[in-house]
Amino acid sequence: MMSLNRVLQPNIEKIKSLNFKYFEHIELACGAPIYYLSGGTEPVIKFELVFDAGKAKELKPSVASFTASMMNEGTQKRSGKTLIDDLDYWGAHFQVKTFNDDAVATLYCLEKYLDGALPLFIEALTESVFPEKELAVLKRNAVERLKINNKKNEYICRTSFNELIYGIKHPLGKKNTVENVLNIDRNELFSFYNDNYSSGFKYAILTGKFSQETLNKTQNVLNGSALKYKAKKSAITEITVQEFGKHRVEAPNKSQASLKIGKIAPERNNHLFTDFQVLNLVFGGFFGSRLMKKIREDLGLTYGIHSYYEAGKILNIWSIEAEVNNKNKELAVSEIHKELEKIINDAIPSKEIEVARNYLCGAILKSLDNPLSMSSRMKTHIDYDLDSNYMKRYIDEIYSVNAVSLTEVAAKYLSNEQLIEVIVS
Amino acid sequence: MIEYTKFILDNGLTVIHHQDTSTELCVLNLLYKVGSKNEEANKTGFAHLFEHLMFGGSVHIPSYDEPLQLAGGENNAFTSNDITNYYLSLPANNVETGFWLESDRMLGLAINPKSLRVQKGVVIEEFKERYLNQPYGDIWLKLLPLAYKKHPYKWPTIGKAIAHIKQAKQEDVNAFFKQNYAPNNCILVVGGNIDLDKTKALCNKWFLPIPAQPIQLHVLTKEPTQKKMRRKEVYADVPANLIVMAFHMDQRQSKNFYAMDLLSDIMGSGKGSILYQQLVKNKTLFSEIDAYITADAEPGLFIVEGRLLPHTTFEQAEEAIWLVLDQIKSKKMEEDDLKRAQHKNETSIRFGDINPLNRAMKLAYAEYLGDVELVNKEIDNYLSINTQEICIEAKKVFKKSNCSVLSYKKKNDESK
Repeated sequence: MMSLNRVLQPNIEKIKSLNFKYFEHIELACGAPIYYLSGGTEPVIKFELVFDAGKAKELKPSVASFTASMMNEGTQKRSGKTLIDDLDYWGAHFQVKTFNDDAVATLYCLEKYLDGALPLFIEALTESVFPEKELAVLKRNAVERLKINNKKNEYICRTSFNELIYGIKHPLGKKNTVENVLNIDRNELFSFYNDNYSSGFKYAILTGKFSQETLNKTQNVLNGSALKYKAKKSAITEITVQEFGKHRVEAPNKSQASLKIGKIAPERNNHLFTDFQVLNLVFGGFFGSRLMKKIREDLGLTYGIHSYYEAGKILNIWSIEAEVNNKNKELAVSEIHKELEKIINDAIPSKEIEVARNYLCGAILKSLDNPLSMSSRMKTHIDYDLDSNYMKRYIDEIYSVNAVSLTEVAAKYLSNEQLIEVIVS
Repeated sequence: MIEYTKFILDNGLTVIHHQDTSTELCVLNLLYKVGSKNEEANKTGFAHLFEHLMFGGSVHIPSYDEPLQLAGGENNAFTSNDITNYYLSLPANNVETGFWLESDRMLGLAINPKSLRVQKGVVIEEFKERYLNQPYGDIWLKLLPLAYKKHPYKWPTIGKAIAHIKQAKQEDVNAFFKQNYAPNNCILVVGGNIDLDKTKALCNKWFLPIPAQPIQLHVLTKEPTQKKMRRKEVYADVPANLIVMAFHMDQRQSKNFYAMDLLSDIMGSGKGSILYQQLVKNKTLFSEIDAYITADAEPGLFIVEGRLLPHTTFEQAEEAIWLVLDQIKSKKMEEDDLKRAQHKNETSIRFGDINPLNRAMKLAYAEYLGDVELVNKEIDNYLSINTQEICIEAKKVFKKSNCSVLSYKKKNDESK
């Protein structure tokens, strides 16, 4: 028997195939598309309706998220409690989640109970009545949650950063206050609901493992419902960032310091986007990143430090976040700046690029390992008009990223210029 | 239905193979049968610290993470009271790198003073980030020693105190590895897009040559039956008062476990639950209230945890919770309430099974509990419970003499 070589890594290959299928779609009578994909191993259903009802559209803080929460609280036919009990009976639940750019209502259930659950879900979205009494409970509880958040360094750090980058007047920048929550008015919410939910949804996504018959039935139920189609995209307000530089905020808790350092990043559709993704990985985007190696593995100053890219219709933001040892926070910050300078000035070694891009390809495969997570890929495709060959091109682009292009992108997007730095300590 | 094949290598390593051709990934899950319950009372937090050290390089491989990332893989690990669990996923065509890495660190570690020093620092920051730098973050540090007097569940996985982590020495690390990390103390699940022949071949190639070790037998001190109610008050800089009530309940493999798990859903999961409806909505005493079980392998806890509204006193809060508990004990439960909880449970089990890594972890844990087939029996186990059984068990569990109450008070209320 040949002796086993434990020193040498077994041969590795590029990823050979990507099991991403661009979803099929059918159209409802109202004209709205339902994108669908059936696959995986479990007989589950995830059904999403996407509304143009994001946080960016609210005039006062919390209006978008409160409107979303109120859809659980009762309809013309059912009290909130009855609605939940009836859904529970089918082992189903739904939530309406508010994001910056849109809001997504999602129903989760087993295929065998979709017949029972789907009409309840639609009823909640189309016949919501926003009872005052339930709103009072939500407000009371939201005030308590906000008080807790205001004791968290990390929460203060993020909201302060948003205030600086979006501006204090922008819906995505405005900080929430207890007073704001107390002043939320039922009629304000109901008109947000009428304008942004009752007026129609943009598209639907159905995933999980289901039969053609289930698809047909879903189509019929939706056709017979009061749901409308809203094709028109809302206008986007441009904003200009002015509050660059360093900001120090007093922390409620002194055991660690919370920091967020970031700036505006390239758009999702920018031709440098793929380079930027790989660059972010090398810098702080995964466990093997430079920031993790330096601040965690070498200096032991944090449990975790990461850099992120967040795509948005209003701003695309790149930022670094960490909770660090309070005593050594200045050391952590100065090491971060050193790493920023280094990545701009020195060519990235090819081994480091290879690790990052292989890791990224593997992570993409992982994000496609079940139909439910594929639906979030599909949503990105729809929101950013990516065509059915995009994923293949993206993988090819990742494999062709090189040190020269990365250095250019680093100089362009990771420079000190217009950097916002918030430290809560 | 999760299909699998189980076999045991000559060195004692239990292997469970679970093929799923709908994914392009392979996953490896290694469950080592050692958790914080196996620690010595004066060296707590060690199993978890050790988990960190497992990434610091092994006999033949200086770095664990980089070769895995190069193969397109991702990994992580967690430590609980009962086990330490390592898992990775990677593109199916690169699966051998996973076998290479995991078998080498099962063979032996190469821990140096620097990696020990740094990981101690990292774990101390983790301690602060998760337990100290959060309002209410230290609840478990306070509650567990109240509820458990003898059993090692009395300290949390992170450890009793930062000082224990600081004290960890190189010789402790070496001894811990020798006593616990061996093929005969591990369950390996190989899942995803890989066939049985390949799994067998790779196991034989990489794991079979690792010799079995004498494993330290851990005889755990049994928790004596609680005789009377226990109370503890703590003060902290938090925005609202909080009450936690903990009750001892039956072990994981008993029928009563399923009854109490369902009851915790009926009582405290979501807006339809009894506690929310009665105490948040109708009586407006709490801003949030929840019931859940700790679900450890050995007898665990049934917890009711509620955050008081500013006008509510601790006496009112506790009395209101007892009232709900007494109702449950004395009134026959609605059949529909149970049916809803069972259906919700079935949905959540199915959703939990959607990705191959979760299925692999579940298989390993079921095997650890003593019956890998549990993964396919769970739904029926929950469906077989009736309202009568829940009521009987509730009467046994919800007794004052079986209760520990932690009153977590706002600092400025200290005068009251």
